[in-house]
Amino acid sequence: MSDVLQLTALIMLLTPWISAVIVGLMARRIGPKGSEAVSMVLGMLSWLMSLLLWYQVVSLQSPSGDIMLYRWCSSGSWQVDIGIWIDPLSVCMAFMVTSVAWVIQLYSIGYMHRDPGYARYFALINFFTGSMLVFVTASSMLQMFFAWEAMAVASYGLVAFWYERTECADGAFKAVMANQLGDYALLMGIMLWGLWGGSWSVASFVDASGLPDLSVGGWHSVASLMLLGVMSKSAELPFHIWVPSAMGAPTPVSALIHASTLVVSGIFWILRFAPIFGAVAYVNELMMVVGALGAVWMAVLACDQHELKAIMAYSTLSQLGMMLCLCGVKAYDLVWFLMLTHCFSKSLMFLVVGRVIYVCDGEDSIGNLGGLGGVMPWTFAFAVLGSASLLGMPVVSSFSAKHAMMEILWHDGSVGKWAAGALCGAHALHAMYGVKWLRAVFLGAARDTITPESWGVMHSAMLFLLLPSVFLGLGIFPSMLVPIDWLGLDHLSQSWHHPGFYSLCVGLFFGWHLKSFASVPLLVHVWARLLRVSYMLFCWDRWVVSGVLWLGRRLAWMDEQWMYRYPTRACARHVAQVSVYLKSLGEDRRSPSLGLLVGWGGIMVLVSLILGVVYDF
Amino acid sequence: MIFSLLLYAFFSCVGCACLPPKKRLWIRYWVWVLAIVALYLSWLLWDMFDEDLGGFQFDYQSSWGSDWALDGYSIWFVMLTLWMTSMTAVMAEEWVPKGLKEHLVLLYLIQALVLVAFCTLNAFVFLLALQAIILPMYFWLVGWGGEARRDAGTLWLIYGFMGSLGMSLAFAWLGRELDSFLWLDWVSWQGSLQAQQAYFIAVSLAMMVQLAAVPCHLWLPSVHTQAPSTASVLLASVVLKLGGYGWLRWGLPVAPAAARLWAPIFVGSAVLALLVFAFITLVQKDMKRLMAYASIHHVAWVVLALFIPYLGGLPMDAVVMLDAAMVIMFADGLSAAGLFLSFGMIYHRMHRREIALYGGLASTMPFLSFWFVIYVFAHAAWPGTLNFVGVWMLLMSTIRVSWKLALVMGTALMGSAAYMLWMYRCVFWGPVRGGRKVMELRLAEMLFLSLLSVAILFFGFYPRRFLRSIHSNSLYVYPYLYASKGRP
Repeated sequence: MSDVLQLTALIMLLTPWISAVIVGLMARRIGPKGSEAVSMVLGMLSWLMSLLLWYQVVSLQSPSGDIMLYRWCSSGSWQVDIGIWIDPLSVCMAFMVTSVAWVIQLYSIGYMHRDPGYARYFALINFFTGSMLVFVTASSMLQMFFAWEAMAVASYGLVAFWYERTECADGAFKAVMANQLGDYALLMGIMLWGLWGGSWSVASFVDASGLPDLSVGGWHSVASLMLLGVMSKSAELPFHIWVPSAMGAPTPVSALIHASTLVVSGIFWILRFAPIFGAVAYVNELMMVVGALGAVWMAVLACDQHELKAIMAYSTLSQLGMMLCLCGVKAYDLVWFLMLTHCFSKSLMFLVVGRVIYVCDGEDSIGNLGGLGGVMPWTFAFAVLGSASLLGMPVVSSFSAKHAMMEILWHDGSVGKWAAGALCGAHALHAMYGVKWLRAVFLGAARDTITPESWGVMHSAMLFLLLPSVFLGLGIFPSMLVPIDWLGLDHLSQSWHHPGFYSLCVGLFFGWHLKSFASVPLLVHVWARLLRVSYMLFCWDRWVVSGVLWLGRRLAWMDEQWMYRYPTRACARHVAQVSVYLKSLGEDRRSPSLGLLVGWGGIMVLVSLILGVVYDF
Repeated sequence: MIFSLLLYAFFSCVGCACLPPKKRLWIRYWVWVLAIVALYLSWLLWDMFDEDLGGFQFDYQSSWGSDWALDGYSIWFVMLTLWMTSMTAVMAEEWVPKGLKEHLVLLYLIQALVLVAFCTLNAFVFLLALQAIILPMYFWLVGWGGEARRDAGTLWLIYGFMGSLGMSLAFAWLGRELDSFLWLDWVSWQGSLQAQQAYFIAVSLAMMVQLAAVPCHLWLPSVHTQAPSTASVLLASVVLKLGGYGWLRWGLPVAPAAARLWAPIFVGSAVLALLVFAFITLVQKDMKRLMAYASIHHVAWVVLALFIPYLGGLPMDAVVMLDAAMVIMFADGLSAAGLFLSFGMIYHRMHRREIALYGGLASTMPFLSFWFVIYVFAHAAWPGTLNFVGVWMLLMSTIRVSWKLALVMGTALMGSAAYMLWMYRCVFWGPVRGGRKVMELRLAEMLFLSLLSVAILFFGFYPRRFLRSIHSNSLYVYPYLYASKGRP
């Protein structure tokens, strides 16, 4: 690894942290303009460095390598090193993170400019970006865990950015606690991996031949524990509950952490440590089942949402389900590509939604919006193109990736066939709610009088995201952009004849004519039942919370009663008796506290006597 | 070196007593001068200490036949004591409206006694210091405490004296038996198993009371709640740690066979505490009570780190667990001190303790909320803080003894995250209560809060700086604690 490359990586990693520190600590001195300037300039620097790295590693194919910074902690049997690991995967992810982060800061200049916490906002965004960069370029498993937890801290601060609102504060707490369940499992997985002789260094996973035979014995528990951690961070099925409630965050924050970076870090963990997950058959099947089920179920729920951000949140959850499902068939390259395209296009969609919310003064219920296409032509165009790329429509987007996804799943045993079917359904539903909200928001009669928009900084940001989300999916660039092997599916990737596309068309049709289907009683009945069951199942966190609080109160009561009241009362009674006795000896009835003092004095004298006797014995 | 330390401890107390009580300015100067001297002393200690040398350094025989020395463990505690007393003394000037001089005399008296307890190698002197701390703490409590201070004071006295009663007897007996009170003689004691057990139980009881380890913990919530803010800071950061230190120095190495015999019971009770007290802490309604229960919860980690090596495992892991016990105690001392210091700052502006009466403090105290969140995450053993280093080392060594045990212990991490973050959410977020007026911090307050958080983060990111002296000393004391020396 050349010195230039090392320096580049180091600058890329450090700039967000430096800008977080400058903006965070000197907010008052440099003011809002200064904080925005600092984070934009340093963000650009970081982005340039990541571009340079990407060019070096992906295009010029310089070898992967490890930059060791220092040893964190060690014992005779284990050591943890802090360093930077540079390989195509980490460089691509770092490029994605710095691009999205910079664009989102650009957008925020427009979106957040009236906010009193402007500097805090930029400091937190930079803190998050820095943690995410450390996460994707970490050289050991434990360092990744550190960054993973740092991201949780950043999301705690960002989700509760408007902390005076109860729902934001609660959402942040819920997000961290839901992640904490998985973090516990992940930490235990890391520890077991280390215990049974695995090396935590990322380098050891690149060449899988050095790893032990992972398909036997206790490695299952490592894979299962890590999968739990991944599922909580990537908001897979039972743990998805934290994402919708974290939507109190400012919309650009959601675009950064709930669309493109934080929530895919679980998937990234799977990609990074693929040998661990790939070796255990039942873990793979679990991933497929959970992923496919989540993809469909979350898409169903997305169709029921009325708030724009909630639709986006459930849409992300559904897409994350698809990614997990694909991890189950070990199509890691494809997951990687899907992840990148999804990151750009979902961030774009969040920015579009944020633009609508911004223009309509915080109104994000689709029932109250309409006819915005005429006054917001640019936003409308971005929305349509972004949706198309999100859905995997032909030509513009991740079409080929979605196509390949179906293909691979279909040929992967019975579970895969079911999963492929489920994902087709999910596709149709994506198209359905996509058309539904686009139609409701941008078409139809205008509700309010809104002055027609002109091009602004927020539009530039959206344009920057539109470019990769369209071109990344053209099917021409992927091999250049991301060094993945197309698994011999090139002949398929340009063909339109695949079930995913057909289901998309069905979904588009249904979405457009949703109003007329809403009058079919059977459909409405089944739909309502389905939703009711879903919402009942997914409020498990409430039961957990009330159970924990009930148990806590019980235990606290027991603690006081059994361990405090009885012994202390008994003790106090005896002390009181002794002191009363001693007091009667002294015949002093002036004050009770004097009696206590005399009592204690007596006890001390007694103790000293005993001590003296024992010592002299 | 130790002589100057003791001289400092003595003169800080006596000098404070000689100051004219009405002149608050003189007291202020005195406190700052002492703080600077303490800082200089701790730097001097650190500079002269050889970190790679296990065992005792700075040996000093005082004329009355007492032995004094510092090792890789106690030097950190001594420095912690110096820092925390200085900070508390400066804060006391603002927090104590009446009887400041008396308050400070008691504070420096406690400092002197704690330093004596940490520096001495004489069991009798240790016992004396430990028992003597009870009185100034009691006077602090009843003199400047909250509304129910008398009850809390009585509780403190009862627990303190009852706890150390057995230890006094045991110390007196063993001193008579060996005809010496010196540590080196005591650790080479070849007592019968019965005698060791009697000694061990007596000392452990005292140390568990001092540490507020379950089931001897119940004095702590009341005392913390009623104590003045200064006392809470010192209690949480230094005085409680005396228990863990005493156990490590005077309990386990003197009677290791008994410790091995009783280890399952201690481990069991600590695991139970780790599970149960997360729930209990979560439902507390009073800020200080919650933080007190958090201390009780964290003490279980220390107990586990001390006793798990007796259950099995390699010597290497036992050494790491010793390191972990020290790290956890020191880290908890820093973060608990930070929490109680910041809470003192809040309390003396808002005058309320109930969590429900707080809300939206992040708007009115923005700087404090930033530092507070660092202590909150430190207390929840978040990676990047020193607290995580301790927990990680402990879990990573425990998993070699029993991975099931480690899996159970790990759940406590979720618990501490839950109660700390929930407390932060309730106090600092949500609708603002108690007026929107922004309350600025003083320069000294900013200084102390930032120093503590920098220490927590620095050692969290680079723990080997901290572990160097600890580890070499763990290697030194390991044979005394865990190796069987041909004993019964």
